[in-house]
Amino acid sequence: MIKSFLVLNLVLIAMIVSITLHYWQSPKKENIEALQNIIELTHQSKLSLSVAYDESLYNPTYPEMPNLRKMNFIYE
Amino acid sequence: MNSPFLHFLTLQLFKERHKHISIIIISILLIFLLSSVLFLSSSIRFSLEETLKAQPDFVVTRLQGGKGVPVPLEWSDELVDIYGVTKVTPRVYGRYFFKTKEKSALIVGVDFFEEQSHKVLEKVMKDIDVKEFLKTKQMLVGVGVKEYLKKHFYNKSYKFLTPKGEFVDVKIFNTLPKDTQLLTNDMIVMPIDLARKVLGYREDEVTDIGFNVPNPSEWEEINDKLLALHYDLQVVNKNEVKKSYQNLYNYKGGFFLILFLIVLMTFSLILYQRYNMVYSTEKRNIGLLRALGWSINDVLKLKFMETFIIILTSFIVGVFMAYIFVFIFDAPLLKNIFLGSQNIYSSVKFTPVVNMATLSSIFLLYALPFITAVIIPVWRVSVTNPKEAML
Repeated sequence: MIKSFLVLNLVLIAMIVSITLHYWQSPKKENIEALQNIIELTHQSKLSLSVAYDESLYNPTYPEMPNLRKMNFIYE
Repeated sequence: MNSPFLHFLTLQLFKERHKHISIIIISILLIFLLSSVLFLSSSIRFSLEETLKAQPDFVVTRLQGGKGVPVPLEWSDELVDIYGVTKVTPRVYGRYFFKTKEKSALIVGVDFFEEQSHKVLEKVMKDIDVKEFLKTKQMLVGVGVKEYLKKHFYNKSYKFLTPKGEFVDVKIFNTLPKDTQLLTNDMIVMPIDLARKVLGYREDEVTDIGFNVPNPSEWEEINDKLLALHYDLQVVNKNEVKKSYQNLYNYKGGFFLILFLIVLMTFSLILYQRYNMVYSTEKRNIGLLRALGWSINDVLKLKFMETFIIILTSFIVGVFMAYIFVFIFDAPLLKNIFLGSQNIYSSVKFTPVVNMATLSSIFLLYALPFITAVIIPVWRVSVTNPKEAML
C-alpha cells in the first residue's frame, strides 16, 4: 500500500469519526423534550412553515387540482 | 497490508488519478445532493413524529360551507360527558397578518390560569416570572417573529389591529427558545382572552377543541359518537395528521430520489460507453496484464477493487459534506424547499438524524450500476486474446 493511499484512508476515517462524534453528542433528547413542552403548552404541533398563507386554495392553472405551493393543508 | 497486489492496485489508482478525478467529483456531487435531501427530510420527520406524541389524539372543528368557523365553547362540555374522553382542551389560535399583509404570524392563546399551563411555561422558559408576565398585556414571540418585529422597529411592543378596528398594544415579554424554532418560529403566545380579542373571537367561542382517548380501541366508536353530536362537526385524529406529514415529506424526498435515479442511470451509461469504446489504453493495459500471466479473475479483481475504492471514497466524502451542510450549516437554500421561504424567515437548527437503512440503499443504488458499468466492458476485454487486446 502506498503512502498517499494510507493518507486518503486516514482522511476518510477522520471524516467518519467526526460525524459519528457530532451525531452522538447532539442534544437530540433535549431538543425533542423542548418541542414536546411547547406542544403541551400551546396544544399545537403545526410546523412553522414559511409559506404565504393568503394565497389561493386552488391551482390557477388546473382548477381541479390542489395548489401545489400550499403546504399548510394538514388541518384544512 | 503489504501484499504486492494491494501495492500495485494503490499505485495504479494514484498514477491514473487524473482519469478518475472527474468521475469522483460527479459522484460526490450526486451523493451530496441526495444525502442532503434525505438527511433533511428524515430530521424533520423524526422531530414531527416525536412531537406528535404530545399532541391531542383528536381535534374537533366546525365547518360551514367547507370553511372552518369558530366552535362554540359549550361543545367542550358535551365532549367531557362522553365516556373514555380525557384532557378536553379548547384551543384559540389563528393567523395575524401584519400591516403590509405580506407576512403573518400564528397567534396562540394559552389559558395561563390553569395550573398545568403554569408548570409547562416554567419548563419551557427557565427563568420566567409568570406573575410578572400576566400583570399586563404581554406576549412571548418566536425567534422569527422577534426578528421581523425588530426589523420594523417594534422592539418593545406591537399594536395589533383587531377585526373590530381597535388597536391593542401588547408588550414583547420574551422570546421562545431557539431550539423549538421548528414549531415556534412564526408563533406568538399570549393569554387566551387577549388572543380572542386580537383574533376577533367572542368569549364563548374557540377555534377548535382537542381531546385524548387513551384507549385506541375506542377511537372508532368515539369518532361515531362525535359525528352524531352535530351535523357541522369535523373530526381529525392524530393518525391522519401523521399520515399527511409523512406523505408530504415522502413526496418531497421521493421526488429527489427519482431525479437521482435518472441522473444515476445517465451517469452509468456514460461510464459504460467510456470503458467500452474510448479507452484503448485501458484495453492495452488489460492485455499487458494478461500477457504477463494474470488470470481473468485477477484482472476483474483489480478493476473491481479499483472501482470499489472510487465508489467508497466518493460516498464517504459526499455523505460527510451533506452532513456538514445540513446539520452544521442548517442547509441554506435547500431548507426552503421543505420549510418554505415566503413568510417570516426561519433559521431553524435541524436535529441530526441518520437513517442507516436509507443510507445503505443509496450506497447500493449507486454502487451496483457503477460497478456493472465498469466490470462488464473490462470482462469483455479480458476474455479476448491478449495480443488482440494490445493492438
